Amino acid sequence: MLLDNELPQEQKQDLMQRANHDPKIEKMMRNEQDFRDFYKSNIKRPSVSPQIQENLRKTIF
Amino acid sequence: MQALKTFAYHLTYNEEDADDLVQETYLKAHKFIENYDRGTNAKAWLFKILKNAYINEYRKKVKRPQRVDIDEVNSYRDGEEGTSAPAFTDLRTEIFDQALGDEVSFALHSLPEEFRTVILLCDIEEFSYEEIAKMLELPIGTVRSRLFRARNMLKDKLKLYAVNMGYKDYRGLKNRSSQSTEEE
Repeated sequence: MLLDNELPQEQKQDLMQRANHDPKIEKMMRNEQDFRDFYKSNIKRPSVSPQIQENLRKTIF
Repeated sequence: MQALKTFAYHLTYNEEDADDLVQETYLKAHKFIENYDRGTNAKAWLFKILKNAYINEYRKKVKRPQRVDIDEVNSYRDGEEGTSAPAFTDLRTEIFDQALGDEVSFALHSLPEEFRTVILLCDIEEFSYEEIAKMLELPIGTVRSRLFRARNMLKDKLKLYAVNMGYKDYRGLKNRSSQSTEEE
């Protein structure tokens, strides 16, 4: 939840403080973030076909 | 448009179907623009339209029995096809196998749809839990627990690949540590 930015401010500060004093927690958080970054940056993102873009441009705009 | 295509692609596993879904999403959004609440997240609205189009139309379409040319069946039965490639090869499977060269997409596609969807919406598109809950019409708690399970599934799927890439699995630390983690 912390990495999703969904933790209430108070709990976020509390957890951050604990992470700052506990290398294990800090390391776990860093690895979790690395993992998410890893699949986010490696996921296939095919582009929209130019024909579809053109069709939409003609139809909508 | 690119984000919608990525989402559509990872739902359908097929580029052409994903393009069709994106096109349909824009046309529906254009048609029902009066339903959009100004000031709310337009991207989330488009994603919800796409997700509904996928559920209501695409999934029904792919569940329909495939039409087969009777002449093709007869010639196959009569042995005229010889040893050539079987006439019943699932084209979708073929395209899927060819399209997936990368491990991350392959691992993602192996997750059940409900888990794949939350990963795509939260981790790839960075929607908030609340936005995802509205989009999927689920309680926030369900979104949260699905995300937790989905990420763990993805870690398991990617473990070997990640290790080969130089990443390490630190999940064991969670069990050894009495400290709470971010998932608590």
